[in-house]
Amino acid sequence: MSTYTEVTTDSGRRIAAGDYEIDHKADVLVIGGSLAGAWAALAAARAGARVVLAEKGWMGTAGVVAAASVGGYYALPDDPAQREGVIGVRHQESRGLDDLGYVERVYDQSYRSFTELRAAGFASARLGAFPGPDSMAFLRRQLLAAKVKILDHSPALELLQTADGAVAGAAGIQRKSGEAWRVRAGAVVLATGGNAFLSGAQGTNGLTGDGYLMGAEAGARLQGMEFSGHYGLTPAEGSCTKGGMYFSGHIYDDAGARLDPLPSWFAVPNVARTLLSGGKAWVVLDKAAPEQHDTHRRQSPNFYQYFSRRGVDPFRQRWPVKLTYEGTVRAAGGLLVDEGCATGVPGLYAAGDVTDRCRLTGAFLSGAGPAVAWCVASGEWAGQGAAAFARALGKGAHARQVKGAGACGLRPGGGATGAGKGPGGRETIARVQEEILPLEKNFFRDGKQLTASLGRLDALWTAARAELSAAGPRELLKAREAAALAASARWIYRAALARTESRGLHRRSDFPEEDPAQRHHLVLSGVDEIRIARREALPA
Amino acid sequence: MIELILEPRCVRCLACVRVCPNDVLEADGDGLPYVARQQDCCSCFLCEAYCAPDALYVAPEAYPLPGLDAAQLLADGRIGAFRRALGWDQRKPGELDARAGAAPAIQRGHPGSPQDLHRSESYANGINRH
Ligand SMILES: Cc1cc2nc3c(=O)[nH]c(=O)nc-3n(C[C@H](O)[C@H](O)[C@H](O)COP(=O)(O)OP(=O)(O)OC[C@H]3O[C@@H](n4cnc5c(N)ncnc54)[C@H](O)[C@@H]3O)c2cc1C
Ligand code: SF4
Ligand code: SF4
Repeated sequence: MSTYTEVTTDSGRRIAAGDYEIDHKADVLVIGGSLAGAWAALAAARAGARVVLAEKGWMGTAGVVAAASVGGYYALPDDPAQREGVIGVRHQESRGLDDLGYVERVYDQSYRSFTELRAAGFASARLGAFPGPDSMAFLRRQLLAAKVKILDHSPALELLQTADGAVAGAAGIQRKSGEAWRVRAGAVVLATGGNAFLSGAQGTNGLTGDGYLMGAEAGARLQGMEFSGHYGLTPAEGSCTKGGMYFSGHIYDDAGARLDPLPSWFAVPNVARTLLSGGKAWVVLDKAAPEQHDTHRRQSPNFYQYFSRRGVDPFRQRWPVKLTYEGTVRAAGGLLVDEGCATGVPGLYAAGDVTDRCRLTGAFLSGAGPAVAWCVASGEWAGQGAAAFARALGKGAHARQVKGAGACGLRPGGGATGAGKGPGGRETIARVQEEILPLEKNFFRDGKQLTASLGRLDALWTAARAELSAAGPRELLKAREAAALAASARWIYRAALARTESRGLHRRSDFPEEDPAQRHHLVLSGVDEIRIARREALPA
Repeated sequence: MIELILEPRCVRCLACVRVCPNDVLEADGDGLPYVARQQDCCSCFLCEAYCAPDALYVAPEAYPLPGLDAAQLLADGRIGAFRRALGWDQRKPGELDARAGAAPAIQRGHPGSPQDLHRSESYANGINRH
């Protein structure tokens, strides 16, 4: 293999001017190549579509699944007790915002999808288990066998839209070569994951809310963004936020008092209080029986590398933990989709963490089972829906006139681009992080803090909107990620300010109780001007 | 974060440059990989996993940790430990069907009470059988 050289350094100008070095046509373009994107691409290909998949990183290692290893729920067709159990297992925590009928459809679909995967030779130890690096490498082979064209290291930067608003492709860059690319498609599936705000949580660095921004620019709406106050327990010097192992241990404060009368993520508020008051939190995984230690190590090799490489025995010695922000990953918020995973913008579908997951798990965590079931179910439905949409367009699909829908970070001030003045991408990212990452601001929220943060974020947005852009490919990607981070933070805090109660992952210290009158959804739209509408929850 | 590239062991296949999901690594003019953007590394160990000759070391710390002793890390088996933990010293990435050959188990039983996410996560990850 030859070395990589930068062949293009004016990617910003090229994208903004619609001057592409690489031009593809597809029936369906999938953006994002983790579990949901891979599944959507396979489903679309099975439905007869020609599929291109564009991934910011390398399809096979990118995304949370490859880094973390995960497992998904499913409902067994012939086991009523199991079905009832799994369908209802998150109902209590959802705080009245889930939809059990839909949950059942999702877990029926995930059973079918997991079973298909097994039939294709995917022999993980259990149905629904995705040992990370192997799963995504396996899926890469499946995609290649299905003739899906994979564009690696090729982040999408904007959607392409027709004059009447249909999404008809996307444009982006190959970040290693700097080439500008375009894919014209009959339909697009966004599968770009959530937004962990570059907090450093293992596997989340590519998850910067790009799909929220691209979708909203094209006219899609968002929901559940306020249910985003989750921080993952993390070994203090590390980056792995896997939560399952804490069920096999105890969490203490400095004085040795238990912080986890309720285990793992239920203990997170106690850990947050302890850290906020200047104390430390300690863990020892002493509930795991010695004969189980090897099994634990095998199931989460990434988690245990931290200990083996540092010479710590996590089952017998205590070790300090910190909390790492996970934003909308493992939480709820994202693009609002209908039952078939269409966004309401013609030709635009979405799957996985980029969508709102309230239907499944309401105001609480979507991780640890539901989210992965959702990746395959929503991937299946979005892939099929997009393929059908493209088929209905017929031959004329690629003859449509299209225009880039991207604004902030790409087309400053709405006009053509040059190298921006004002804060650049990395600095904008740091300023957003100052508002959204600190436990002090975002774990227990209050009206005054939210208003102050929003004021700063709105000002930052205005400056970025007017001036943020970049010339070279990597800086251009940073600029767009910065725009997506800023937009996401504004949506989160706008919704958080509007919800004057505490519910699930939205905790207000000035409104500590759940308010029965606010058992509804908040739907956001708009990028520059943000509008909020209320959507009723299902009858209790 | 990614800390070491052991030049004498490296066969210049550039798999690490290709697979790093965060674009941390680059190749120099001689075809050797180097750490171009360490601040973007999230210690996922995946470059290590794809490096067949075990020429890379990722420290689990979320900050730079200069001054590591490569000879020591090689001697005590820390270099290459993740690849071996995945079983990739025995087979290719993603060749799950070549493993034991046994069909995966379908887990029966009840995932637990609604308040009991412990059991629900176990259920998802197959840690316990109920
Ligand atoms: C530590 C951890 C453990 C978890 N464990 C579980 C579990 O056991 N069970 C469970 O149900 N859930 C679990 N979750 C949640 C689960 O991992 C996510 O729901 C799931 O990974 C979402 O998959 P996805 O395909 O939607 O996107 P992600 O895995 O988030 O990946 C998104 C992909 O899109 C790419 N991308 C982003 N922007 C662009 C762009 N502009 N252009 C092109 N590509 C782009 C990214 O590079 C990435 O590859 C866990 C989460 C974490 C953090
Ligand atoms: S994968 Fe390993 S052998 Fe190949 S270039 Fe990278 S360090 Fe060298
Ligand atoms: S550990 Fe992960 S993020 Fe860091 S260099 Fe290796 S592959 Fe890239």
